[in-house]
Order: sequence, then C-alpha cells, then structure tokens
Amino acid sequence: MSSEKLTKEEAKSRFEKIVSDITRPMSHHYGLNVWIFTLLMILSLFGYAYFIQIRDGLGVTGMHDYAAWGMYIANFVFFVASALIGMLISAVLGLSGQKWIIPITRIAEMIAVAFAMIAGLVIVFDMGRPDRVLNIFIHGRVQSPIVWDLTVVTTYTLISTLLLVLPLIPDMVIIKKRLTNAPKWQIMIWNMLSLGWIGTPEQYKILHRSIRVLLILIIPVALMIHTVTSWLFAMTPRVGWDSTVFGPYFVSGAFVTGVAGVIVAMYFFQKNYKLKDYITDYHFSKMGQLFVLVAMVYMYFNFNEFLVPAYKMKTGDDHHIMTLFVGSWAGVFWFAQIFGNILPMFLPIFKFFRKPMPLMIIAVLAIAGAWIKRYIIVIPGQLHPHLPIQNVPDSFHVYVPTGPEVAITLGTIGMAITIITILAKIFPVIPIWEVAEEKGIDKETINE
Amino acid sequence: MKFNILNKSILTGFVLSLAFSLSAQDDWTVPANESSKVCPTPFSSTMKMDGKDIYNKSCKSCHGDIGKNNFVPLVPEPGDPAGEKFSKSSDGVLFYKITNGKAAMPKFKDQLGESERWAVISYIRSFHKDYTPAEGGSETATEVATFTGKDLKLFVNKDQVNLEITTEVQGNVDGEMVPANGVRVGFFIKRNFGLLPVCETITTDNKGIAKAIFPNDLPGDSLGNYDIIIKLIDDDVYGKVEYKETLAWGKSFVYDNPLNHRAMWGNRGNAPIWLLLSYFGMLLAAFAVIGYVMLQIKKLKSLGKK
Repeated sequence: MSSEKLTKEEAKSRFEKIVSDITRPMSHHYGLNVWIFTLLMILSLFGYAYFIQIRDGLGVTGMHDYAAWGMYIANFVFFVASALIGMLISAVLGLSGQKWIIPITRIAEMIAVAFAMIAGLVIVFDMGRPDRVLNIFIHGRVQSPIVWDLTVVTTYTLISTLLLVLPLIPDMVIIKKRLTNAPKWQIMIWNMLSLGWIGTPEQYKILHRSIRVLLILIIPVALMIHTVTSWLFAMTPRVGWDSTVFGPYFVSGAFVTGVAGVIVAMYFFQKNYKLKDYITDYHFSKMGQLFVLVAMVYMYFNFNEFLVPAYKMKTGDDHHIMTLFVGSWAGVFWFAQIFGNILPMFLPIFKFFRKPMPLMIIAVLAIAGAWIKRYIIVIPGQLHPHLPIQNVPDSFHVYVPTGPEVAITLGTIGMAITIITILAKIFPVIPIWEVAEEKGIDKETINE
Repeated sequence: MKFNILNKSILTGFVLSLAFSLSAQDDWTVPANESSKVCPTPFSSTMKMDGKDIYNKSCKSCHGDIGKNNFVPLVPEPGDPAGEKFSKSSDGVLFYKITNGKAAMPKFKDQLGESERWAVISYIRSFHKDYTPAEGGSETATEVATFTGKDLKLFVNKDQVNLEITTEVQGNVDGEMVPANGVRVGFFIKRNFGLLPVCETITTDNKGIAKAIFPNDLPGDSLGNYDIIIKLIDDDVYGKVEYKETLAWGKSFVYDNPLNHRAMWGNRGNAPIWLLLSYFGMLLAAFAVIGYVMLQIKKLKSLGKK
C-alpha cells in the first residue's frame, strides 16, 4: 500500500486519522479509573507488607539458613527475563529488516523499561536493610557476579530508556500540536522530549543513526544481563545450579517469557485502546510464529539442562532430578514445562491458535509457567545441599513463602504494570511517525 | 599463622578420623593386664596442676574444655573427659589409650613421659565425682629404668655441620656424678600441635651418651628456627629432666597468604588484571556509545533551534 502515490490532501487526511486513532485512548476514561484503583490497592498492600519487613527484618519472610534465596530472587530472574524482549523485537528483528514489528516496538520497549527498572528494586527488597545496597558500591568486588549483575542491569535500563525515548521525539511534536487540551504537566513532558524536532533531513539522519547504534549495542548488553543473572547461580557448585548451559538456557527462556508478555500487552492494547487497524491479526500470527521459534530453542536448552545430568545421575543430581521429575516438585515442574514451553512450541503451529484470543490465553499460561520455572530453578537446589541439613528446626527443611513475601512480590508486578500504564497514558503506544511512513505518508505531512 | 596451622591440624585429624572411622568404632579393647595398671604414686595436687598444663597443650584441641562438652565433632567422637565414657574406664584403660593412641587419637608414648601421662589422668579424674583412687603400685615404674642414680643432668653437644646432637647424661651415685647408662632419652622438635619425635627413643650407652641427627628440611619460622626439646622419658623415676633450645637448623618458612595475590577469591584490591580489563573495558565501551548518542541528541536539539 505504500507504493501508491498519495495526493497532498489524501496524505493529510490519512495522517490525521492515524494520529486521532492512536491518541484517542490517551484521554481520560472510566475503565482507566478502575484499573488504576486496582493497581493502587496492590501497591498499598505492598507498602504495608514492606513496612512490616523493614520494621521486623527478613525474619518475616520464609527464607532461612538453607533457602537464603526465595521468592524475591525467583521474581527477580523473571523480571530480568521479561525485560529482554525489547532487545529481541527492536534489535534482532528490527535490524534484520522485519517491517511488521513497527507497531509493536514501543510496547516491547515499554515492557523492557518497566521490568528492568523494577528488577533492580526487587533486589533491594530482598535485602533486609535497603541502605545496604550502598555496600555494593563501597565494598563491591569486581570478582563478584553480583557486581556484574548490578552494572549490567543499570546499563540495560539506561539503553532501553534511550531506545524508548529516541523514537518518541517526532511523535512528541505531533501530539503536542494536536492535543492542546491535555493537562499542563503532560504538555511539559512532551515539550521537553520533542527536543526541538522540526523534521529536517539532517535531524532524521541523526535520529536514525543514534537509534541504530543503540540497537546494535543493546544486543550484547541484553545477552549479558541475563547471562550474568544465570551466573549468580551457575558460579556455585550447588546441585541444580552447577551447569555450563545456564547462560543460554536463561536467555532462551527469557525470549519465551518476553514474547508471551508482548502478546498479552498487544491483546490488551488492541482491545482496550481500539487499535484493531494497527495491531492486526497478522501481527498476532507473526508473534505466534515467533513464539514457536523461541519455544523450540528453549526446549533445546531444556533437553541439555536435564537430559545430560539425568543420563549420568551423579550423586546429588540424582536426588534433585528425581524430586523435580517424579518427586515432591513434580506437579509444579510439569506445569512449568508444559505451559511454559511445550504448549507454546506446538499450539501456535496451527493457524487457529495464532488468532488473538487463543494466542493470548496460551501466552498468559506461558507467563505463569515461566514464573514458576524461575521459582523451581532458585529454590529446590538450596534444599538439597551437598552436606546434610542437620541440627536445625524442622522448618528449615522446606521453604514456604509468607504473606508479606507474597504481598511484596505481587507489589513488584503491580509496580511494573503501573509504569507501563503511566507510559501508555502519556505516550502513544504505537509509533505514529513510523507507522505513517510505512503507510506511504511523506515526511513533510508528518512534520507539518 | 598459628591459627591456620592449628586449623589444618584439626582438619587433618578430621580427615584421618573419617578414614579410620570404619575400623575405629567404639570397640577399642585394652588388654587385661594393661587395664588393671595403676599409677605408681598417689595422685597429688601438684600432679593435677601438671596434668592440667599438659592437657591444655596436648589434649584440649580435640577434647575441648573438660565438662563443657565442646570437643571437636570427629567420628568417632573424642568425647568430653568428664563424661561417662571416661569416668567408667579404669586408670589402666585411660593410660593405655593415651600411650598407644588409635586412629585420630595420637600415640603419646614418646611425647609424654609416663608420669606426664599419669598427671593427665589425675587431672581428668578430678572431674569424676565418684572416682576412688586405686591402691598405688610400683611394678610398672621400674620396668625399664635400670640406672639408679639421682639428680640426673643432661649435657648437650651440638655438631652444627651434621646437625647431630650428642647428649651425655650424668647422675649422682653416692655423691659422685657418673655417666648414666641405660637411661631413655627422647629427642623432639616442637611443632604447633605437640612434639615431633626426631627418632625412636634412644637409650644411653655405658658412657651415658645418646645421639640423634636432626633434620635440615623441616620448616621453621621465617629465620629457619625451630625449638628442640631433649628429655628423659622415665620422668616418673628421674623427675622432669629436659633441655630446650632454639636452633636455626630448619628451613626458612614464610607463610604466603593467598589473599595477598591477585585472584578471583582476593579482596577488591586484588582483582585479577584480566578481569579488571574485561569489566572496565566493556563498561567503558558501552558508556562510550551511550555518550556518543547523548552528543547526537544535543546536536539534534541545536539543529531544531536554527
């Protein structure tokens, strides 16, 4: 459709329709109030639970001498995993020339920024005293994977933010000119982020070059953020963590989580923001295919991670693998494997399951599976240490998360969704200028 | 350093005890004639005080403070000497076990004289409320001691070239100092964990002489010093007669703390160079690109103002 030559008038009217379609949901509506109220409830529950944890210490959690990492760390790994999607969609697919990703790049970046930001916070919540985070800077050793992780999470958040902000610049000018009734603070933000954009060829050149450079940079950084997160585990000789494929295993798992996250967000925005003309069945179908691909890669690493030790059945590994496959952890383990990997790998092969609704349901289950999978990676390994657990209270043989722990974890998910909600409220969720260009509208009309 | 070596010794004991744990369960049987042995002299308070000193030096590192049950958890466990395992054993059994050792329990035959071993037992017995002292006998004491003189003295002659020590033992017989024939002499080097015998116990010849060659490859302190101790083994007969000296006959040993080198386990100042280069190199590269993009954004802004 971009090949036809539009007259000036046609171009203008088409462009105005695009702008009004995309910016309409940015005005206030009733559904949003309910949504925000729900989020506020979750956040206040979090606030209360965190107050208790600060007041009474980490003793209020289910963590103890043996399971010193619990739900918080599992949740942290999940957050880092979800954040990787920005890199897959914008960088890997974008740089390889996939045009269909244009309308969903911003959604992917918003997810990346929100989850990367909160991932750092989750670590702070895992510390009994939040001020101790400073100790990483004061006493941190370059030899420690924790220092590497802190570095790379911060860098990734920074680059993702830039990758969200840079493609926003032309859109800021477009909406600033048209949504003059918006609240003052919103206009101020738009003004600030429009950075004197007037759409000269030179400005386009600089913008494209900057985005391109960052897209290249974010690929190694994103691979590193999750590889280093896996090293927090794999750098110890503990049963279940002592693995050489942990890096790619985590990265491939992250892509499944991220694709599922984007599918759910796409469905939500398509329905609630009425963007059927921009996020189409075609996009869902493409995402469904991508889902199959990443799930296959993930399956490959799952085979490596479990089949290789299961063939040898070394002391320690044997007990670990048996508890996961047929023992006390079998229920959650198979839930995670079936819904988090096997179904996403097979179902979207069929056209029916690539339609928005079925695909969204598969994605929601895959996210649940992915979260549980992180939990299974973090906790059982700690409950089978190399030396026997003895002379301790009975409760030290298991790990059961407590109420405050669950509330704080829910709160972090609430925070990430709140950030996405706010971003989607003050910025267009679909890049207007890129979509318009894709539809054959000239730069002059766009920047008028 | 001392602490470290002590730790190592405990660890070694631990490993040893694991290795022997299959053979050395609680079935440590003592021959009947040994278990009925009793101390040739009655236990006295000075004996008890001596025993305490010896206990603290040679026994405490495994058996802990008596009565506090803080012994090292080895397998089989050493046990607290105040406990039943000890109080129900006869003096002879304790003496036999201290003398001969088994598995992780060292053999003290050559390191502690008989009276020193009895002193330890007298100290241990002071913790046993129901203990009634056995009638003292003297048949054990005179078994080996054949020299009957008194006030024995050691005269030590060192050969610095061959690291040989010649000890002449003299004793007072009828008011006259004569060479003591047939007296057992022990040659030791003091280590952090007890006394290391240099050779088997040597019995003096008819000139009262016992010789031993000391090793030159044993680690000493940073100057190669180690402490030697030469003493009469049958101190229950002759009293405590010993000779101590510090000699620079060992190898210089300077403890090289691995934490002082660049390594993955080092402190932050001792990070490996390759790691520092990788970490800061990557960080610098990433932030150089980010910095470049920031400059581009600035340029973008200035272009809009024109």
